[in-house]
Amino acid sequence: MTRVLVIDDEPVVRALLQKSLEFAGFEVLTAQDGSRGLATVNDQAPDVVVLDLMMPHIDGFEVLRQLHVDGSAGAPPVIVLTALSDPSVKARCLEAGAAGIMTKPFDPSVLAAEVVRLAGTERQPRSA
Amino acid sequence: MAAVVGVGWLDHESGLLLSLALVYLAPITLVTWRLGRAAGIFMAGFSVIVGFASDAADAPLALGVVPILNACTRLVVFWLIVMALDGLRRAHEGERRMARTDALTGVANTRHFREEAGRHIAGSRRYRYPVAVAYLDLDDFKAINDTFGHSTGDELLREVGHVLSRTVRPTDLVARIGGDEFVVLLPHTDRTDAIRAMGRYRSALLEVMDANGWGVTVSAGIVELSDEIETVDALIGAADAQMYAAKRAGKDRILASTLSSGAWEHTGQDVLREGAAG
Repeated sequence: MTRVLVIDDEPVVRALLQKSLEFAGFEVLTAQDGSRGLATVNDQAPDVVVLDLMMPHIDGFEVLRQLHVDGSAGAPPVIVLTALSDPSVKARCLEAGAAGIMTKPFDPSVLAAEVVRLAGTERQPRSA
Repeated sequence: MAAVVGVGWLDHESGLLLSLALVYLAPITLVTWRLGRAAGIFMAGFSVIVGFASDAADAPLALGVVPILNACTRLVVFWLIVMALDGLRRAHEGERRMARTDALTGVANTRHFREEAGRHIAGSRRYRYPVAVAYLDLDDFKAINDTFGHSTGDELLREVGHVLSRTVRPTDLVARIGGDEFVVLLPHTDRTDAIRAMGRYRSALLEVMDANGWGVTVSAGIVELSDEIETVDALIGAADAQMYAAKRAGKDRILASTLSSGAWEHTGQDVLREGAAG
């Protein structure tokens, strides 16, 4: 089963995303901030990461950067969630290695389809 | 029908020169407005037959086909009037229904709820029967709108209205009185029975939320009408206050209280326990 990690600091949104992704048939892991999210990526190797951009301490950009800079070539594809529709934000996310971007609000079925698409893409072998 | 026969007799007695054709319209319009198109058309046909019989009895043979022509004219005119009146009646009923209904969810609106609640407050004073009101609020509904958009939010609200109307007892009244706020009026129901009923309604809601992958929970406050509560506003306000107490106590639960006594808490495990809030 496809494993999805949801990283979002808002408990309500996290629960909502978990529920809707579980409903779509995925196994869902959650993390409430960036550092815990990065730890979960290392420990549990999720197939896809759903990442909120606006978080305290380590924000989404930093999570993206650490995922792709820290030598983990096998980093899972990341879908960034943002309420900012500013194109420069999108460009920054893509530059930082995001595989997909969803602007809130979005339909839950579109997020599920995006997860399926990214989980299906060939994953690079983990170097570690 | 007696009225039509009466008019027919007058028509006959008054002779040919005084035409009472238009007087038949009184019973026809009355019946159409009260009973609808089919009954109206029946009355129109009956009036034409009575009128024709009256004319035929009076008319000298020299008039020949004139009574028949008159009858045909009346039939067409009466029929047109019945159709026009019935159209008006349907439009009027549609407007009345809309004035009572919440457009998004199809349950009652605030106005209708207030009328019914007022009626039961008065009835309860007079005939001494219990009345309870439940105030429901979806937990963190804003997050649904923010994350999944208003179309998902609206669909969720419609589903809530649908489930509630399907689940409540025929004597209960469901109304939507705010964005994600619903009220249920439970006449002839005391606090204990209202808690039991609301427990059922809440389970039905949670089931549908799960089935749609929304995972939204419900906080509800229940108040039984007591002597301290004299107006509809006070009744709704008291139930609202209980709902807020349920939110403060951690959401996803039912709190019930009369104003004078302590609060009771009803959790998802279908158990009652004394709560802290008053």
